[in-house]
Amino acid sequence: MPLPFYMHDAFSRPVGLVIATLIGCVFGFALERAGFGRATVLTDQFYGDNMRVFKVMFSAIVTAMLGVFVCSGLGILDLSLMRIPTTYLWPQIAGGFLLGVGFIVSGHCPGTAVVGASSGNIDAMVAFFGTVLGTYAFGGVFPWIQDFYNSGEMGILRLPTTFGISETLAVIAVVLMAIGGFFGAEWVEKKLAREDAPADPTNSGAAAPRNRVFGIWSLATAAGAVVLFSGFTFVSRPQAEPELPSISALDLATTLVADPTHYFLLDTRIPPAPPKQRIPGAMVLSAEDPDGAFLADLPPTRELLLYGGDDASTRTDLAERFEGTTLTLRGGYAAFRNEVIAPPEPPRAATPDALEAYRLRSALHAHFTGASAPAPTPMVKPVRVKRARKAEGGC
Amino acid sequence: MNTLPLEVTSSRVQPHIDPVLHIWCWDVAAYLFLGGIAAGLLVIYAVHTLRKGNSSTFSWPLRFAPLIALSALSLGMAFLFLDLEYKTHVYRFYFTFRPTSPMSWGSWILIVTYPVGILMATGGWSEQQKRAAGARLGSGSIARLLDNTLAFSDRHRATILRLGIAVGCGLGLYTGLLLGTLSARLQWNTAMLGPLFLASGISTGIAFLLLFPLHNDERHELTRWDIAAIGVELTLIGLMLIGFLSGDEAARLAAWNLLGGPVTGEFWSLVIITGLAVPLFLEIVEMRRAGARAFMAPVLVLIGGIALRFILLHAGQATSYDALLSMVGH
Amino acid sequence: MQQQSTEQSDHFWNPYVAGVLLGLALLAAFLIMGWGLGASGAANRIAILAAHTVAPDAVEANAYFRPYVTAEHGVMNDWLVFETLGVFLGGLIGAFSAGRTRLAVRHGARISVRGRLFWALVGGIIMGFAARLARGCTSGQALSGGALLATGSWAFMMMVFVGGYAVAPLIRRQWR
Repeated sequence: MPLPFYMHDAFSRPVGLVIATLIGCVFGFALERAGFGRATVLTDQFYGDNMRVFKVMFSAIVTAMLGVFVCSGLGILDLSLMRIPTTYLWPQIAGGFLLGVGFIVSGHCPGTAVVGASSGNIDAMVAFFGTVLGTYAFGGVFPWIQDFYNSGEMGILRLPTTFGISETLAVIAVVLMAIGGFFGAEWVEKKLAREDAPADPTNSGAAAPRNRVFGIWSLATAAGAVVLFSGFTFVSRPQAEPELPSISALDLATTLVADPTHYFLLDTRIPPAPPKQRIPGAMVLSAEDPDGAFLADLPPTRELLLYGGDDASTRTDLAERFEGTTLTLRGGYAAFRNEVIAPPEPPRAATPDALEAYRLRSALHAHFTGASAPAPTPMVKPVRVKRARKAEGGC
Repeated sequence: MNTLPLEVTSSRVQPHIDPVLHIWCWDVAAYLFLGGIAAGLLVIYAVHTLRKGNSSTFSWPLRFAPLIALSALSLGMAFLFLDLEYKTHVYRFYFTFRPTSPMSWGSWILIVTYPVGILMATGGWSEQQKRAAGARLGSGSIARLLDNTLAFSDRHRATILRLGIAVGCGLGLYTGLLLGTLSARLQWNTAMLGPLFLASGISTGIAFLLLFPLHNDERHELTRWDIAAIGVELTLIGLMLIGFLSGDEAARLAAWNLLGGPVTGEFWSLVIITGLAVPLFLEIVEMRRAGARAFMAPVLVLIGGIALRFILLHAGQATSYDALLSMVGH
Repeated sequence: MQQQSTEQSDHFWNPYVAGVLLGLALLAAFLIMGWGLGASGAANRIAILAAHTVAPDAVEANAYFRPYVTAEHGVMNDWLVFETLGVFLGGLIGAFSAGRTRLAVRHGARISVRGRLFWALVGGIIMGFAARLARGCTSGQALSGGALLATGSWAFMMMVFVGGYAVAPLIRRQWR
């Protein structure tokens, strides 16, 4: 299964909202356990003696970056489908500075304010309320700062391009920088440790779990680099579209009699064939919607059956619009006409199977044409007699 | 909406012929929610009193639970009244009784609930509580009425409480069956809706009580019941979905609505995760740790309760219409 | 021992371990959805919903807000809104299971509760403005864009620390 799932239409938008809630739960839980619900923990960062914010943030960035790096190196993640934030350099620089100011003044950033509010911190609730108000301030002055808001547009720009280095080198540089930063942070913490404050054992990060984390990162970086350099990929070229399953005209007719709502029938011929030359109940493609965009709105509670005049004119490409199972009719409408609409020929050899098939076809013919079936009984009786005679002769 | 073929818009889907297409809004959802809370409160009070015996030692929220229930019900009925097209015709419900109509059952259950609720609240007072109430009322006819009511309620205490359980269950079931019998609405065409709304009513009733200061043992007991009620609710929702999935096309459409269709996000995020799973977790943690109090758990249960009714109400009214739209529109 | 005197409720995780879990949540969003996490987007939409309920005309006339209220889906029918609901629930689960849920105002020793709340509001307003200007906050830009090595996001992230360190000495009173 190629990643990212949603971009490959693996599930619908509403299911994505449920996934959002679940991922959000993990995110919120991690933020809370990191201590980020508490303003006094967050702002310690800016007074130097507890660098939790830096450590947690860069640990998260390195972890997610390595995951993306390894997955795209293996070829199972398509980076071009990811929504990478577009660079608007000047508003991002100004916005970043202001956000840092708001961070130290309020003691929260928007995400940690939500976590703080959930653990009962009133200051976090107020800060989140302030964030909501800040939106109005922005909307109010937007006409005047619109030009600045759109300035410095550089498209989707990434560090490897900016610095003219390879992806692997950029990743290695970020990992090394982060690990260097972590040791630096711990050194600063020791330097600035307050005499009066009790040493929090989890503050600087006990060495054992820290080293384990660093080790895993190094392995992941190495693995990603090896994979990229060897040019090895699991999924490189798009695979040929698998053929749609198909059913025979007789099976279709039988199903339609038993359960008229089993299929959405779609006649893919353009211009549409006249109603008498379509399977009863079939939808057609209209001139305004020749590519069947409406298929996306159909609920996947029925199967979709596509058919054209024959196999060649059946448009199987429409299948991807429909959310549920799609089939085609073998032989298209021609097969349906020959096998169902055309009056059945009485069987020549009177085996029980042939008789059974003949009865079925007569019944289907009658059902779909409204014509009474050519009375089967008189034709069949002599046949049966004939067979009986043969049997007698054998005795 | 404008894409419907002319024959449909002119003959059917237009306000002069189908005036009720989207007419049940938040007011009916609020009524079903408050009715569920009232049903839950009556059942909880009756069961708890039958188990513990002496209701005069209850904390005040639990002691007055039947009266809280009646207040919630009255508020809900006020919302329902707002929803009625012909407000002056309400009395007509009471000049007839049709055994096959849930609305008829409902209006009679509503009438029965009031006296039963009052008799539940007036039983089991201690002598001191009776004296305190008597002193406040003096010795007029109201005081005599109170004395007689108290005496009557005490005499028939067990019967009244059992009746209270029956009325509470009836009320809770009715809030779901009211929707469940409208088979044209795909989302409501399931027998699970009655039990589901009853279980949810009990859970939200408990959650409502948990917002108030209760004695520790009461809180413990009620939280345990809430855990059970949430478990039952999750089971019933599972059964409802299985029932839909194994049904005909209309039922499968209803299942798809909640399993990938338009209301999936709201249903799973607000009802299942926010309203059931997270409070269940919080309450289990609360039970296991002495002194912990999950203040947010009942709040989430109440949010989930109102979301459940609102979403099902909305989905029920949207399914038939959307289905019509996609079947006929092309 | 020192550790035992610390309340159980003040025990946070090792920052690197918490960071890895955070990163895994972010990675899950990348791999499943194709985009990252956020938080200010929800505040933005709450603001627009509230304003649109009170004064629909004013919101629809505003160049910045109009696209949100005329979109195909409702204002709150958005991935980031549901994700932020999850953040609240996840925070609640984490805080309650660690015994940390308590109504409180967290402030430094030298500032009154009222002063702290005032500055929280002011800072919040600045953040709300900044997050709109930069098209994201610490979660949406710094974390998500940073992990995807977006150049603008890294510039944003550096500036967050610059802004924080620049103003920290001025309001030392609030925290120290």
